[in-house]
Amino acid sequence: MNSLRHLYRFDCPNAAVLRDYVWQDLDPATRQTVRQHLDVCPLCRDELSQLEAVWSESKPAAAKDELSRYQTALLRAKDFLENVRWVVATTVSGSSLETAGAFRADVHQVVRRPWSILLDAEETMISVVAVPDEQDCYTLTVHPLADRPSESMRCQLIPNRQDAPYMVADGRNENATFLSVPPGTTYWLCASPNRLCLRRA
Amino acid sequence: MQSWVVEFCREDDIRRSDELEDLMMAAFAAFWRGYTTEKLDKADGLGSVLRYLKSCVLTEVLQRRRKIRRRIREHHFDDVTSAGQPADEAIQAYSGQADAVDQVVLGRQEANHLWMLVDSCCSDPREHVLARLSFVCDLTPAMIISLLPHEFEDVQEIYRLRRNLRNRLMRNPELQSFEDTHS
Repeated sequence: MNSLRHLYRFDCPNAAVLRDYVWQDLDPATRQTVRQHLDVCPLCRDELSQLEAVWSESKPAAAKDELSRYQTALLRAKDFLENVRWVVATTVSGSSLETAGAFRADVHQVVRRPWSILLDAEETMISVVAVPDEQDCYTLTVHPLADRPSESMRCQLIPNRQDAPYMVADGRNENATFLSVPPGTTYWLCASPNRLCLRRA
Repeated sequence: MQSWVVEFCREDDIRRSDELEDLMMAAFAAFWRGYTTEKLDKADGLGSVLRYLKSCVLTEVLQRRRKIRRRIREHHFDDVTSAGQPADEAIQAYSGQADAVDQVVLGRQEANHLWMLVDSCCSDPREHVLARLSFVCDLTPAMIISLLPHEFEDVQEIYRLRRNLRNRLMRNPELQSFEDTHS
């Protein structure tokens, strides 16, 4: 089957097309075609990420601080969401330790260490901790700040313009402002490509 | 610019200084073609212009890397049936060689036709995915299992499926005819 050699990346868009995709120079139809191809081609996805890295580096100084703060937040969120896709969490007040939900880490690489997110539920600081078990499933537990594990991640809640509030992890920013989250309310923590979201279920 | 090329290139990619020069020239050409006045108007400083130039350098490096990998792959296929030159020499012989447009177009048409034949031999979506990752992306079973750990049980299963698929392809008369025409 020598002829199979002709198949190597036969339908991949030229690297210049990927560059134009990153710089948003493509017409909508071509952009859609490239996007569909990216869904099935890990090699192009890899090249695209390299081009995106160049595109996003060394932004002008004026916007640099704000961007780096935001990017740090997104990177932390992304890092967390490497392992988390969908989580249902029930925020609670008080001192009881509760299992609020579980989620699977399918498709993603599993990091075998606990992660936590801090939420502010009406002045009661609580932490949500996700710990993988032997089956690579995660159990989500909620407990008061007093029991906060040493490894934790602060989150900033930012109002969504349209519907539910969403949350962007904000690294170690001590000045983060928090929206109040009604206790006992069920939220979806969900992953968009580069954002950690908290939505009312 | 040279430092960008070196940054993007792995050791096996750029072997001679004239190739490095060629890459930089090609990147400049791509920059002049792509950096329109509209982009310049929207640019928020020199940094933006340089980022585009750097993107062009990376684009040229990526495109060249693809060609080298394709050559290596063809070389490996050649090795199956004949005593070919070492891969290293094959790459050296290939470097700097430009693809004729008609060859590229014909090659793509043939590959499209071939892929349709291969695709028609796949019995289920898993085989389709496997065929694509193996023959188009040239991934090894180990790479495939790390990419899709939940799609296949283990590496052995990928080897088995791929062997079955290859056997089926070899029995396909249309593919045989394609093989005879292009051998």
